[in-house]
Amino acid sequence: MSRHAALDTFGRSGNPLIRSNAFDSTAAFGDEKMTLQGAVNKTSMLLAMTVLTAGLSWNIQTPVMGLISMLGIGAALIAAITTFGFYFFFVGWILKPRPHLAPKTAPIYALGMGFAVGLISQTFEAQFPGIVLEAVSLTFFVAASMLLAYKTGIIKPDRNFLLMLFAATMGVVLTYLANLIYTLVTGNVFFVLTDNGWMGIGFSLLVVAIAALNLVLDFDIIEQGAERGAPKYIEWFGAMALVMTLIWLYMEILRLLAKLRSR
Amino acid sequence: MSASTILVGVLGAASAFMFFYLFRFKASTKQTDRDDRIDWYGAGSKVHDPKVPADRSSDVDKPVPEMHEPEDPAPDRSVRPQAIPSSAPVQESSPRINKWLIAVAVVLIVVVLLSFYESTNA
Repeated sequence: MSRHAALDTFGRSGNPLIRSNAFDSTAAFGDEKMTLQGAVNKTSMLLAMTVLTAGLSWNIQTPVMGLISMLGIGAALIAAITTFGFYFFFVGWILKPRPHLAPKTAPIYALGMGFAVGLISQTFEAQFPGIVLEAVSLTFFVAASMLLAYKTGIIKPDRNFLLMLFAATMGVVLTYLANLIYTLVTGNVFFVLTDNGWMGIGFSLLVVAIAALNLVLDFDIIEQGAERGAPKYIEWFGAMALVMTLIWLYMEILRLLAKLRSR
Repeated sequence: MSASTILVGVLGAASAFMFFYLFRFKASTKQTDRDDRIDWYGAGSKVHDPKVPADRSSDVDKPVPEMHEPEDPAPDRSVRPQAIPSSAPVQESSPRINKWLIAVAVVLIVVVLLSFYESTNA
């Protein structure tokens, strides 16, 4: 498979939720164009929404809140699939991406995922006090470092970088999928995912690195969109993709820190 | 609250501020002026002219003709265009509101995190 064919088949991003034909448009004359500042604003708004609902699900532990959280998480998943589409190997697009819906779906996604983040964080915090603060700090530290590396040109994403990262990301996704099926069938989980030995920590470190490198692609999409005068809704689309990667990175860092603390 | 917690909190807040602050700036020319850059939006021009049909099948790896915004009927030739350094902040609609938005988001994140910490350690 040539590099171009691979890109055409699998999309242009290593992020599993960003696909190529989402970007095949530029703003026409008179249309409002996206800016970097707009993407920054949208990202901060989405993160604030995530933190807000995370706080709710963390602090209010009632059956009603549990139901609301589950509905929120479901709505977030639907919002993500609606915006980024659903691709299945050897079948193609089951649901095509609709980036123009991002201004509506991105807040739903952020609010809904906040419930999941709050519930998971609270579970970890109960076991290892202080771990959430450390994980959030590390997430922002990693994100700021990657952004600095991208802006200064230390990390230069090209097609090889994209394909390698896409392969690595798909590897992680398939591992988690296989683990889910394995858990449903046997009731156990893969040893490498929960092991707090060097193998488990090494795996977590690898996944954190892959998630961090995915941030570079999100930055590149936003940067290039602003340069090329992409339509305004790409600000929401890029911000949603970035928040999605940040949440993934946070979850992986949380898991890594828990493994280190439980040793 | 221990000193290490405060240190981690400060590190997180500083990183969050750095992240949102750096994000506003354009990437360096070392990053943007590359031939091997990933082409996320197709090899198109900066602004798509609806009068020119976009044929993207043949324009891969081909120099792109530059398209211009509609010109001012009486441009003032005496005013020279100013060079924008690559690290200059991009054009923004309302700088004051944007800064406040970022500040509020960072403060909100820090306050909620500290409340999480306090509630679990109470």
